[in-house]
Amino acid sequence: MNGKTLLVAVAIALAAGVAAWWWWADDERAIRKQLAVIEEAAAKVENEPPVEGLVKATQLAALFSDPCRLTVEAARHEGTYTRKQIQERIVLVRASFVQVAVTLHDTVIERIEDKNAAVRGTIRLRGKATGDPIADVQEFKAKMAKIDGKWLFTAVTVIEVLER
Amino acid sequence: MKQSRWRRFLLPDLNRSFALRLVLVAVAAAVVFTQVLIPFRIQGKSMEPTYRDGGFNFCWRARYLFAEPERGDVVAIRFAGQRIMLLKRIVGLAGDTVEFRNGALFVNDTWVKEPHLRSPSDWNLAARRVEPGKVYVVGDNRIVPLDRQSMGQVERARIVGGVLW
Repeated sequence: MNGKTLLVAVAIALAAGVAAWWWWADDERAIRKQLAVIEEAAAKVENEPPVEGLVKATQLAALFSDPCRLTVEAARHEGTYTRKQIQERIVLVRASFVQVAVTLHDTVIERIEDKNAAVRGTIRLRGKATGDPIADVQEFKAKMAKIDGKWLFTAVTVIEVLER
Repeated sequence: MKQSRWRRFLLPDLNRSFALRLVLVAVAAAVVFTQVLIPFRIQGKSMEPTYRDGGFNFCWRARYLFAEPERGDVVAIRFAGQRIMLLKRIVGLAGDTVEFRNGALFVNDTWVKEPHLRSPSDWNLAARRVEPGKVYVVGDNRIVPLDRQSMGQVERARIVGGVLW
């Protein structure tokens, strides 16, 4: 093997490495972009126009696969819901708040392989209903799948950190 | 002219030695304040009056390196990571039975005096046994209705450390 061949081999290996990294990074970027939608679309300001609320609920529901498995460990609840059912529930929950802010923290994409990913993080909600301010923090884990080019939640579990 | 000690401290020469010292201090500070003493701001009233909403403290991670958590300890409990943590008081250890009767805490059927509490409470919670590998934690603010208080048994592994003061 002469010097020129070696150089070409190294260049190809390098290009393959960069491409692999780019693909991986691209998926991670896409997943994080979807997670950012949760913060944006869940947020509600006082006197939010109803149409805007509906648009945001639709945006949030579009993050879930149809159907999607939802588990709430603390409530011992597990069920499979259609996107429409999820959207209706989101509309109801958002309507119960006068103002709300949702933030995600410590979000880790645990693995991405073969159009499937596992995500874990902490979700924090601070809001105001009719009375006192409301604050809640929950840990979640989720399974995501790349469906028609979009990363969607296929299963979401709200983890019970404190078991009463 | 020889520079004074203070002048050299406040306005050091930007040489290699200074750059090295700066890097060492920055690395040491990053390690200490992310791994050993994690600064945090208290948000919420669940630990009032012991820890006020808006207060500042440090999570001392070495607290349980060579010792096990005890009843009465105030601990930081992590969720998925360490950006958001819960501050709670341990009232029961693995194997203990925890119960509230008209606001009074009973551990293993014995009334526990809690001098740190200031607010009256009407909590009633049936006795429950703390599972192995877990501790039972509660906030100090018992004026909050029971159903709105984050409390319960939590895995020992989720305890990040104790509070510094």
